[in-house]
Amino acid sequence: MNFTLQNILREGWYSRLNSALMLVALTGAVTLLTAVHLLTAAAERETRRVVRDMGFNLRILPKDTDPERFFLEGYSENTLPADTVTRLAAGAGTFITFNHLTPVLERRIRLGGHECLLTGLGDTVVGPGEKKQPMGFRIAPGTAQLGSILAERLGVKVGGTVEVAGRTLRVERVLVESGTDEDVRLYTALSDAQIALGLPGRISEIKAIDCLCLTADQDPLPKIREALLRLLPEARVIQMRALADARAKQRQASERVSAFAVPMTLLVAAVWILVLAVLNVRQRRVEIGLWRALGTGSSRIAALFLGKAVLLGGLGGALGWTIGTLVALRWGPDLFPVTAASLKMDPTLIGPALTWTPLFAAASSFLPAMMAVSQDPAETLRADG
Amino acid sequence: MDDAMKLPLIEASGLTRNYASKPGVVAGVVDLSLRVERGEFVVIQGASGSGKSTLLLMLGALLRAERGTLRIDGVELTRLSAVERSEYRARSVGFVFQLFHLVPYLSVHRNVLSGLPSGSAVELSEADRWIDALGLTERRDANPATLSAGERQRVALARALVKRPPLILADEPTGNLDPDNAARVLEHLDQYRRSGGTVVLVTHGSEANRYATQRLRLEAGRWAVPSAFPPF
Repeated sequence: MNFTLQNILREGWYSRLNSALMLVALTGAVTLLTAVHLLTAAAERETRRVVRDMGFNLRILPKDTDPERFFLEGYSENTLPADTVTRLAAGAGTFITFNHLTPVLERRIRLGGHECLLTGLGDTVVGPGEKKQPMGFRIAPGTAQLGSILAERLGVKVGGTVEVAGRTLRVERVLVESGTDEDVRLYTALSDAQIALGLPGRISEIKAIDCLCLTADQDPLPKIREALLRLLPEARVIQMRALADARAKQRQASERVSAFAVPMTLLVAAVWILVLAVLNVRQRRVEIGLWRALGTGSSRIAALFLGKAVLLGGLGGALGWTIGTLVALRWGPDLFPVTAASLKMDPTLIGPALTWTPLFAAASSFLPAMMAVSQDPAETLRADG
Repeated sequence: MDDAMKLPLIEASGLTRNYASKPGVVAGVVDLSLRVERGEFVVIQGASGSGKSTLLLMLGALLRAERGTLRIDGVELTRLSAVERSEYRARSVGFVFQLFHLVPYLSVHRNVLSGLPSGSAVELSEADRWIDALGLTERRDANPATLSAGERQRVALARALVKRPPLILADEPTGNLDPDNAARVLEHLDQYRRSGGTVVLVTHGSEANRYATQRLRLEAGRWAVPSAFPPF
């Protein structure tokens, strides 16, 4: 074994407290960074899922929709061809701005003597290659899902049937009370709604979610409208601002945590290592002077200090990755119960941990190593004469 | 004997260096000349702050002279770069210090080995030979912290001698030793001299006088007049 490496290992063991404290700093930093990385990814997944469950935040309507009527009725009385969704999905750059494109046909109808909102839902289209679960719920043709008030008024339960424009639909599900107009909705497959309403091949809107994720103080609407004008000039878009803002704020909150935690962790670890390395150099002043007297060159003396930092960095990187992963796997599911199953070890982090931690430790120890190299041996070796 | 071996090992002229060892205390040397032949045992005495250690560190190329010339073993030290001075120390000088200065995390054997420059042609078994010669066989794998003062100084001596340098520089080597251990260390230094080496030893005391082939006294950085020496 190389003499310098042997000396590094022996000195590391001899100065166990100093070495242990340096190792704690490096391990702690990598633990925190690994855990933050895994938990931030988990937070993003959780946010995405929670926001998805909040509902769509964009409504793409026929251009000639009267806004007054739309807001009074809650839907557009105009229609678009149903293949508008596939055209939009095929447009260049669509999924940079829009995602979860869901064709919808909505009308107010009378059902069993009660007024309700008939909502036909088509299949959701996500970006190519994405494994995202489509938002909302899929309804099979011939089935229906009822809002809680409507089901109660009609006296219908799961397994029962409803008659819609002469078609009999089996009730698959009665939705829990939501406190919104969902409670008086009848959800069917898009095709069933088109038949029931006599509007084959037509939709009244495309519901979607925006992907721009701008900050709350940035207005994404001009960008969304610009994209839509290019992709679908016959349509207009309405943004559900409150939902969009909530989504953006959720995402930005987790980004802010990362933006604070990562540099703070690195700064604290760097200062910690710097102080320990300076202490190590001060404790070893006589030894450094001795190596000088023995004719050891500057590069070999610097290697004693930088080598120690690099070795501890490698060890700290491996330990930190392991502990950080264990911490994230142990407590992550409690923090993010909805997406707990997605929280997994990330082996792609081990490479950066083993590469960057030694480099970081060496960089933090560089100044003390230079102090050691430039130290005047005559100061420490001379007797009093 | 080739021509280089006929030359004095050390030739210094007009050597000057101010050195503030402590705030307010200047322990330099002024306009010193020195000539040491090969195989000499030079004892330099002087009070604290007289410039003994400054001179010794200059001979070891650990301090640069501000003025004057200093030629050792045919090499003009004042003209060497930092790297060349390191190489000179690794090749030509063995140091022995008052406070031993052993590497605390290395065993006796490894401390002795540390005296060998990297790539040295000296065989590693030479370290064991010196450990045996200095009566440290039983302590070969011991940690320096477990050694007595006398043992530590013998380890330091073995470290200085293992590469068989032409010059040993000893700074108060017996200052922390009892008389028996001091005599033992001086005997080893004298043995090394008799085998062809050269020793320059600085000290407060007089215990090394009997080994000296040349005795000098420093006072305030200058050579004292010969009459200042006590009789042999």
